[in-house]
Amino acid sequence: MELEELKALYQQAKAAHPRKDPHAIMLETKRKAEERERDFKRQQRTQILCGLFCLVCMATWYRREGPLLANAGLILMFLCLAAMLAGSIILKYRLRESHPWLPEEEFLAEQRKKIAARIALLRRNVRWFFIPSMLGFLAWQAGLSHSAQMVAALVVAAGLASAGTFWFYRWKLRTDLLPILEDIDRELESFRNKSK
Amino acid sequence: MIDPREKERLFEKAIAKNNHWLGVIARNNAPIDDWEDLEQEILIAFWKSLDSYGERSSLETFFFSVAKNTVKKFIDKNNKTKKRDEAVDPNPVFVEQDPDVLSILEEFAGMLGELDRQVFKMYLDCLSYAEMSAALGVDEVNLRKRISRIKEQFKARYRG
Repeated sequence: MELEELKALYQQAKAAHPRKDPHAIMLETKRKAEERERDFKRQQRTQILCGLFCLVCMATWYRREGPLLANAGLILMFLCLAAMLAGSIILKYRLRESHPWLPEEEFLAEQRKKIAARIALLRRNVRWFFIPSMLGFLAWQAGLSHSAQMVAALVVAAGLASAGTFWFYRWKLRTDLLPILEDIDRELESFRNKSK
Repeated sequence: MIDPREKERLFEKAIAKNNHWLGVIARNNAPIDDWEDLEQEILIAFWKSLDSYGERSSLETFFFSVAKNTVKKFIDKNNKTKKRDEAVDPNPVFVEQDPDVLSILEEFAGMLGELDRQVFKMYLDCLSYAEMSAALGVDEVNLRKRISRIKEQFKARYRG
């Protein structure tokens, strides 16, 4: 096949998908942007409601006359989950702000900041909230004076949940966030080299 | 915040002027299956960005800045997905297919360097040498040489 032949075929393929007029493009873009906005809000609402539902459930488990250890564990768990929920909702709203009209280097720096914030949130949630909430869970259950076998089973379950979460955190970092961060750093580095 | 009617007017004005370039940008920066997705991403990003358009720059410069940065974001996202797919299946099974125009185009474009690839796709889009030169910042003589070299490379690979 000659390149001219390929060009002609390519033009035919392109002609099969004619470009719409600006007004139609505007209407379609407006519709899609509004649709995305609605989806985002719906997701946020669902996340907040699910989080609140969990917190309300936990609050109903609280007994003022209950053992001190159980109540302390429950409060710790409640506070950790509330902090995780609030952190992710606040970050999601903050990350929505994007300024793609900025000069390339500034835009990349902004993207980097967002990825770094997501990494920090993930790290904070796992290290400072999830693991303590598991300890709270164990304290709560231990305070309810179950049998020794039951306590052992709960310790194993909490250990497995913590290990699973830690594994997920590492996986998310390795496959999702760090590669983007490395790409952005490489590009920012090339900008710096160019400006030297 | 810009007036909604003014926003619509500016959007239409920018698209009327740059509709052709939008297609060129998408085709130059995304694989065939993702052309439309990239176009849509650029359009939506431009639509949202118009709220902050304060006429600090011309509408065209503003449009191209948004397009350029959206392309960057899109490529980063695609690279991430590609890396993840490779991690899942290091030895994917390829199904033999009759090569069609677009897959030949994509395969050949993939063999070229960054600048040659852009020249090649602009050539397929029937852009004039002057337009290519303005977009790429390469002089026309150099462009002619590049296109002739690309034609030879293509001939050597696909003829016969």
